[in-house]
Amino acid sequence: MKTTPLNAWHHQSGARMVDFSGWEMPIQYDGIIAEHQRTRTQAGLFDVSHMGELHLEGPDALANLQRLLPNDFRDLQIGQVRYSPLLYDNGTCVDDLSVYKLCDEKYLLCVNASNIDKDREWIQSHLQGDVTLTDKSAETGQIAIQGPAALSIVEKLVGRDLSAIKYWWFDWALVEGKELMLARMGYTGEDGFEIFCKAGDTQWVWDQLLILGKDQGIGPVGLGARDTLRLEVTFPLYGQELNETHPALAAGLGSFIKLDKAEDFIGKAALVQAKQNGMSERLVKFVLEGKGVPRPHYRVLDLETGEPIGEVTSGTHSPMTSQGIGMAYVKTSYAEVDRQIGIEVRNRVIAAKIIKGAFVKVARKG
Amino acid sequence: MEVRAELKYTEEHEWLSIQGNKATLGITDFAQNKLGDIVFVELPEVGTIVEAGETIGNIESVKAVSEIFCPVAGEVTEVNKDLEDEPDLVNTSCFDDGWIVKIRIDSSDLTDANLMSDEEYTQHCANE
Repeated sequence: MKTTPLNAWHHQSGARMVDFSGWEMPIQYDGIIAEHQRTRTQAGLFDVSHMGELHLEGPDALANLQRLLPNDFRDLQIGQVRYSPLLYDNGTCVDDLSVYKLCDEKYLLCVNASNIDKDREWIQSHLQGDVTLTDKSAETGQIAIQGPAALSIVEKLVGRDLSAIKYWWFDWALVEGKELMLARMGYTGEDGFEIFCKAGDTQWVWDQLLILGKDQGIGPVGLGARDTLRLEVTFPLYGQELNETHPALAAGLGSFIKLDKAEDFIGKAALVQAKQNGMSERLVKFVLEGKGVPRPHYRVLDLETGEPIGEVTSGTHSPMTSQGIGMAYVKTSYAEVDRQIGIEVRNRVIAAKIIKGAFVKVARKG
Repeated sequence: MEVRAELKYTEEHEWLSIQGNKATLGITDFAQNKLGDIVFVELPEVGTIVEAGETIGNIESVKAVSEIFCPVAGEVTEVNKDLEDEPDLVNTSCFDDGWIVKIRIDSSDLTDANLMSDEEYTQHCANE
């Protein structure tokens, strides 16, 4: 199994380790609910070094981004980050990723760990002109620090005020000779940073943040709480909400898909077609009205007729609201806010209500 | 991991406290620890007749769902209502306040139930 630079630390700390698409990663340390609440109220530290870092550079880098990705990067500033799905010709997702503009003609693409090889091969095979793609995943470490105390802890690490970094922007810092890239963003809905460093510096950064954040209640958070945190704020996960079967528009990614940008992009024709013809299914968010916990692949039923109308993609027990929450693809005619649907949990059908927005509202300063 | 000498154990990590024809059933410390934060316990109705080896309920943790097996035939006489509001009693007190059901059994059925002693169960967990 592949490991991150923090693997030995996880083992020593007593973390429960799992195989996460070929990576040996911590699923929990103290318990999912405790780690979740720590992140919502204090600060959580996440090892995300398994994420991939692909560097795209050259005079034609921007033109390639514009053609490879459906979002528009023409007005992306140096120091700014922008999210986008990466599409196949048929409009479904190769992956979803974040694009960081490092300087003119130089971009960092942060991709999902499970998709690094697939993305690199896909992008490489579609590059045109004067541009090179370099996979720096193995030499790059990444730590996320999330929660209301995250900003002040990272400020202690770098010794300066970071409040001017806006959400979805980044800056660099040099700390004891170690070069850090601090991106104010994350996968929990909370304020915080994703910190990129050299792989060999990852342990040092991790240790420093744990020491500097001790008084503010910082602690490590595993993949279990990472999943409940992202689900409470309805962030999609590749392999669950995003996949190679549903068009990206059906997943609610419309605001990241610029059908009207000047350049043609891979997947555009299929999405335009899908929009014209109407999509058969849509991703919805639902709250269980009875007791239970929805899980991926549970069937969604018409509450009156019992007819199958869809499938759950993600589900959990919300540690903040203590309700069953989830996302599901359902037939388009059912995809209306406040509509009741049924979730089949073993031999029972539990009523659920489709909601809009997130399950948990987060007060974020960034 | 706590194991109690006065209890009997199943391969699926339930414990039984047996007094004559009355049995109290819960899940073990090993099981609750493996499941993690328990958020919902699906209990049977009082009066339910169960066959040996049947599922009598389900335990949902944040991460996973796990069935509760009853190793011996009987009738459910009582369920732990406290678990409806405090399912985490199974985490914090699996052998005491976190018990799950009480069952009326025929004690002569116990010989076929493949129950383990505390020592056998400790060994069983070490092998998992």
